Amino acid sequence: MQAALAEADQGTGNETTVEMTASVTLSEAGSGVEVEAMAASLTVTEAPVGLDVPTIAYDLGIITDSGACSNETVTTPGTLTVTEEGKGAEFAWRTKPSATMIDALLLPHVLSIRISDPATMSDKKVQGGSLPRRKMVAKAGRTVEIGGWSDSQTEIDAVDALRDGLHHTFYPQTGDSFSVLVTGFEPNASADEYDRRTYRLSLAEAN
Amino acid sequence: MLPHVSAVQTVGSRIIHDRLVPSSKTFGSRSDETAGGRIITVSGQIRGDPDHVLRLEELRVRADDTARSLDLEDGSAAITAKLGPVEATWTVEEGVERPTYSATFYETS
Repeated sequence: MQAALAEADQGTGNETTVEMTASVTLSEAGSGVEVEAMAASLTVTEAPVGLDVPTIAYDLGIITDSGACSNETVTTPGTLTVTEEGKGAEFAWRTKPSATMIDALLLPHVLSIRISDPATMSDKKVQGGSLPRRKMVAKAGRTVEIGGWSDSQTEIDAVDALRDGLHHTFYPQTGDSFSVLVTGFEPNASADEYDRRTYRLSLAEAN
Repeated sequence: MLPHVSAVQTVGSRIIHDRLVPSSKTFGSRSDETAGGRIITVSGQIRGDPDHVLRLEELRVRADDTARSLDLEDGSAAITAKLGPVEATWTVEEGVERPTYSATFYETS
């Protein structure tokens, strides 16, 4: 025996409760071995927009066998599929790197990051004591100053190699990122700091 | 509202014209032409805000050549100003969640 009930909703809005009831009674009181097979299908598909809270409550498995034969095998396979393809809001969470990076290179021991967004303003003075008229001419793009230290010449060389005139992607730990040119790299060596070499790295935002 | 403002620096100027008077041994002719307009730098820190990057971005996008009202809430009158350079700094001591910032406003007519 097979039973299938379908409930389709293509409209917008919220659906509350869709009730479907099916009852199949199979009685067998005689002796012998029975192999009753029952298949139930319950599918909820909701494609349009709207907030839906699909809940499927099912009770499967009331099987009564009072026959004279023993060794009944009761199998209740069940598959519950909920498909929801409506439009919704997707949140793209920022993935914050655990360290300051340029491309795939982790900058060693960053102590400070300063990001400036300079703007060029022009003044037009007004005679007679009035306030000047000011206008923003342009913005050149952000500049970044990074201070840190390293005790590895390999790390120093790796950072220095970024001064290649190519565009790189800068990832501060804030989750932001933008394309930059490496405009300056100044590693220092001081006898007072033993093998710790401080450095200063300058970046300029570029498209 | 600018978060946790810690300092406000105001620089005001006036346009003065100097004209030297030949043979004058004392002083020339000096006159006040007009106001230069104040330049106000507001510094502060963002604290206890997980969306500190968003707060900085909200500030940065206001540097769009639009004159807005700036009220320092120190008893002085609100002025009209345009936002210019914005700067943000992260340090190891303060942590990545507590950036300091400064924003420079240019008073305009």
